[in-house]
Amino acid sequence: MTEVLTAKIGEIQIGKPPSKLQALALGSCVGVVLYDRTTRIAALAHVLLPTEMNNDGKANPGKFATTAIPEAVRRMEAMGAKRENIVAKIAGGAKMFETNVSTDSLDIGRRNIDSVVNVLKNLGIRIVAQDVGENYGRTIIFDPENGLLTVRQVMNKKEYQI
Amino acid sequence: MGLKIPDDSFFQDYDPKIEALQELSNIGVGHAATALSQLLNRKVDMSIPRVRFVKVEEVSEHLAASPEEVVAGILQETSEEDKGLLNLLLIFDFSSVKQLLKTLIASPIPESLENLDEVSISLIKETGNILLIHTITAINSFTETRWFPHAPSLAIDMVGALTDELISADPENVERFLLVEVDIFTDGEKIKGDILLLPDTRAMNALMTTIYGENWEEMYS
Repeated sequence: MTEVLTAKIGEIQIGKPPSKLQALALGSCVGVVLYDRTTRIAALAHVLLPTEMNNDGKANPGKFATTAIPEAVRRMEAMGAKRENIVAKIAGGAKMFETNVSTDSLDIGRRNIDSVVNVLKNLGIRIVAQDVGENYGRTIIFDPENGLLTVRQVMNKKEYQI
Repeated sequence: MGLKIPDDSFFQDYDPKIEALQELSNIGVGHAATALSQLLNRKVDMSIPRVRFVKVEEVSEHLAASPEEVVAGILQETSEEDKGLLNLLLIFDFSSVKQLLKTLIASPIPESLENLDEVSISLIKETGNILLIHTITAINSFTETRWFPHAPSLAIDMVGALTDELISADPENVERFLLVEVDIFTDGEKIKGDILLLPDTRAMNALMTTIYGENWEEMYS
């Protein structure tokens, strides 16, 4: 039986075949999939914000790109993954509403993507596929068996793999 | 309006902000129901708004059966000079949209939210707009403030996707926020409208100050 592990907002899920990893209804949130192609150990972080504002360390690290991605890498390495074998696939970061005044605060999707890209670059992790931005929600399911990320646009009734 | 009998969870969660927002939304939604009643030309009742703290991870669970459920969301941004941002998000689920369209127009009822025609979309947006504008007007007259409503924005998509941006809007507060829920009834037919009242930290302070005075934090500590 295939187990599907769901990463809710701010959660990091780790799995390897036959488990799958999913994140439901990503809007401005970004789903970051990290995948070691050799050991097939995978992580999925459901990132809410680019970076932590009040640095009191009390917030859950999984919520922020700057803390969630290093934490996911750490957990993967603890399971035997090798940094140099890890690649990334990212999806989400949409802008769901046409906004007027809160442009800065509500163009959070764009800022999430920028932060994720930046953090991955600093960690030396290559992004091999991405499906980001636009104005629709996405559900993503990652299969560590074949390394494919299924993206489902529920509203547009589209489903494809990247 | 009946007497609200608080349950245990109300006391566990007690916070003066809940009390304040409960009062504001009572007044706001009451006005909105009257406006909707005039638009639909029939009797409109509303439930007493329920206000509570919700963890960000659980927002969509409170709004729909699944984060993937497709709903219509109308976002109303309001601002007042240096007092921050008070965002309102109104959510109609599919059955409420059907009910609304059935009441407003005699056109065929849509099979799903994914393929609404222009007229239906515009009607949903306008209805939402009326509800939200009246809510804001009521808040303004009660607190003697001037929250200015900007053009509303409609998005139809998975409820989880629609709430992402709003729960991210206040990066200083990423653990939990206040959710106001209300049910609207027309002639026994239920139109469920969930209004999320989302003041940022500055706006919340401004609201509390207008209601309780400058020292509101000390009063309750």
